[in-house]
Amino acid sequence: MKLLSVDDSLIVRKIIKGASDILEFELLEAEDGNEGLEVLEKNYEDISLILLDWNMPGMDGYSFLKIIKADDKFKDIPVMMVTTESEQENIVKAIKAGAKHYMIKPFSMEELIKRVLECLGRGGEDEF
Amino acid sequence: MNFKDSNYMIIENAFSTAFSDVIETMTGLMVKDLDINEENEISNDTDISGAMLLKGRCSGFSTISMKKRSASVLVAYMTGIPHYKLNDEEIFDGVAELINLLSGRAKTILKGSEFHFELSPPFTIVGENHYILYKGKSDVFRKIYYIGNILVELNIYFAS
Repeated sequence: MKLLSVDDSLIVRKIIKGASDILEFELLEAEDGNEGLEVLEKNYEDISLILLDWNMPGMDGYSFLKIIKADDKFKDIPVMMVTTESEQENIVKAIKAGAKHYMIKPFSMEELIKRVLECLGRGGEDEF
Repeated sequence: MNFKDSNYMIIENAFSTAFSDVIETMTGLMVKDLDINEENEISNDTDISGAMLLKGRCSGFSTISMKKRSASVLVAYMTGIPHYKLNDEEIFDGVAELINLLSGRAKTILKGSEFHFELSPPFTIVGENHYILYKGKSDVFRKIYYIGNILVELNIYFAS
C-alpha cells in the first residue's frame, strides 16, 4: 500500500514516513502541489491515501485538492488534510472540496497512525 | 512588563500555552517554564533560532532559540530518528516547523481577540552565539523553558 505526503516541511514528511514505516506502507513524497501532481500522475493507481498540507509555496494544498478532485484518474483517492489551518471556515472549505479527513498540526505519532487507519477504513489503534 | 499589563498577559498566556502544547504533543517531552534571570539567560549562547513575523493588531516577531545539539534532540523526538543521524537540513527544517506550529497555535488561541495576527512563512537563523536584534518600538515577552534537560528561549517581540 502506498501513501503520498504533499508537504513543504521535510520534517513533517519524515514524521509521516515514520508512521508509514510502522504501518509497513510505502511513502511517496512531494514538496508542493506541482510536484504532488507529478508524483500522482506516475503512481495514482497504487496510492491509497494522500496526506496534504495546505500552506505550501508554488501550488498550495487547496488548489491541489481542487485539481485532483476534478480529475477522473485521481478523484477517488481519499485525501486527509494535515495542516496548521484550524479555522472552521477552512475546514469546511476543504471538506466541501473533497477532503475526506482533516487533521490539525501539531499531532502525535499515535494520533497520526490512528487517523491514517481511519481514513483507510481499517479502524484505529486496535489494528496494530 | 509593559504594553498595558493585561494585554501583555493575554499574549504571554497564548504563546506559553502554544509552546507547551506543541512541544509536548510533537515530542512527548514535558515542558517547564522559568522566568529569565542571569543564571539561565541563553540569548548569547544559541546556535539556531526559528522565527516568524506576526502581522496584525500586534505586529511583531516570534523566535525560539537554542543550541544546535538541543535542536537535534527535539527533532529526534519529533521524528523518531536518532539525533546523531539527523543532517543539518533536517535539524534546521525541524526548528522552522516548531516555530511554525507554536505561532500557528498561538494564532488560533488569539483568534477572535483584538490580538489576532497573520503569519509569515517560518525561517531558521543559524550561527554560533548569534543574537537577534528586532528594531522598532516594541515590547518583548521572554521565557526560558526546560524540556528535559534542554533549554529553549522563546521571545515574542510585539509593537504596541
